Amino acid sequence: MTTDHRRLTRNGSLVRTVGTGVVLAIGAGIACWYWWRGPNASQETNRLQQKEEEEHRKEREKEPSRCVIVTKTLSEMKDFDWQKFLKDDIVFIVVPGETFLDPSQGFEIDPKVGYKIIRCDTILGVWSCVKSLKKDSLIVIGDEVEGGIPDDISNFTKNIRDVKSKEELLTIFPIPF
Amino acid sequence: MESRILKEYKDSRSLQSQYILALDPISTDDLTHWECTIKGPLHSPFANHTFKLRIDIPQTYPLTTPICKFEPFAMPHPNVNFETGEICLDILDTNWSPVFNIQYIVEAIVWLLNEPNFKSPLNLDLANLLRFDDLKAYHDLISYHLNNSAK
Amino acid sequence: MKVTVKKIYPVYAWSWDIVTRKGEQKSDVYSVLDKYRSEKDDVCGICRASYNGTCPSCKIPGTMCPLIVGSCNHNFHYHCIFRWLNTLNSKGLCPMCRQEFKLDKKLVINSDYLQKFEVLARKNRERRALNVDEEDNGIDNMIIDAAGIEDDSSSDNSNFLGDSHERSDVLMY
Repeated sequence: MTTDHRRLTRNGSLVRTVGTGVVLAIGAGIACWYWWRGPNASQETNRLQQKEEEEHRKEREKEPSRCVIVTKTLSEMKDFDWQKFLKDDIVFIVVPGETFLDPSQGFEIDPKVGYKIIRCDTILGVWSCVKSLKKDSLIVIGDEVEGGIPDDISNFTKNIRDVKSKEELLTIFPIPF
Repeated sequence: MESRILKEYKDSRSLQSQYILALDPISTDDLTHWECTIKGPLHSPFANHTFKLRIDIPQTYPLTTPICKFEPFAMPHPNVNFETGEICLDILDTNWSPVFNIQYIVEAIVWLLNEPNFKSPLNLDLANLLRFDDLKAYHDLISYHLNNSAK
Repeated sequence: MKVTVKKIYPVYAWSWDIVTRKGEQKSDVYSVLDKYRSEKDDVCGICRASYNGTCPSCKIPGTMCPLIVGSCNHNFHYHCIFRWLNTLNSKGLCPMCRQEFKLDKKLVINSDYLQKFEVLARKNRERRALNVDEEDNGIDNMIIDAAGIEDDSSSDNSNFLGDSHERSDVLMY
């Protein structure tokens, strides 16, 4: 009888220890799960909505795409931070004989945007590129391009800005503060 | 036609090719519509890019040619219409022969990526760059379109 | 020991005796095709079924679906090559070597078909000259199940350069 009773109490304490252990483990599990899951579902959808709205807003405010022909004046503005503009929807077409952000001159260009520079060996090639790209606007110093701007270019780009001076160019590409 | 296309399907299961990454019917219930993934040939402006081809087999195959197209706005090439993905290749047109099979056509298209022909252009600007022998601009313009559409 | 033959069951096998001349002339442009054609020399290049079998529209092999041997030494099922040559796209050329497809006159196997192919060739020459694109079904009423085989003629091919005409700047020379 006494031995039985003792066993019972031993068992009772065993049950208590195991029970506490299980409860603690479950508690820790739930805490970990919440921590791992991060913000709850409704916050997540809210964030997605905000992101979507922001993208829509960006879409509306989107800068018109630009195609820039790099001639002598642009090529000589070596200290100018052209790379800042490479993030935009922009293409720089380099006329034959000029250099622009050339890696051989020590320029390091992010390969993610480097494809936006097209270097040409012929002036006819320059215009073929302009036609192929069909950007919203074309920025060019017409006087510096051999043969001037061909008449049919207006069929491929809505807005042709024939820049006359470096000062005018700087209004298009404002120096960052 | 069914038995031949079935044979081609069986052959395509054991296909091993440097440039054909996948060549499968869209559904195994209907072997007349295929999708193919190709790798741009090395030493071409298309290297390091992959392209999807859609191949539709007409009922009259192999007496008439399958219709092959790239995805729209994915393939800047002198002999491919950029907007539609339509391909101009002699063996897919006047020089078709019923001994050609789907795999051969795909290999011919990979070959065309490396051997553009400015005499039968579907992309005038790229064809003109080749004609002017402006290879620098040709490579850079293709690279622009490839990276720009990848975004 | 005495053996008594009670019954005999004769079993026969046949196959076309195909003459293959090695070292034939091949055009360079299509030499890529070699790996496809050399792997299985005993199949018809058009339907990829065995010469000893039938073309896809026949059931009984042999004289019902015979073999045609070209003078260029390329062989096809009669029905397969006839249908191909009956398209304007074929321009009367052998699918393998792109030479004008003519029957090997020396072979007996071809003899029944010489005239049919000559009629077809003449007809197609006229059609090409006139650029007529409607199918003439009266050429050979023996050809089975020609339905579905359309004559893909100039109307399909004429617009493959269509895109280049849409633009104002034509290709510069």
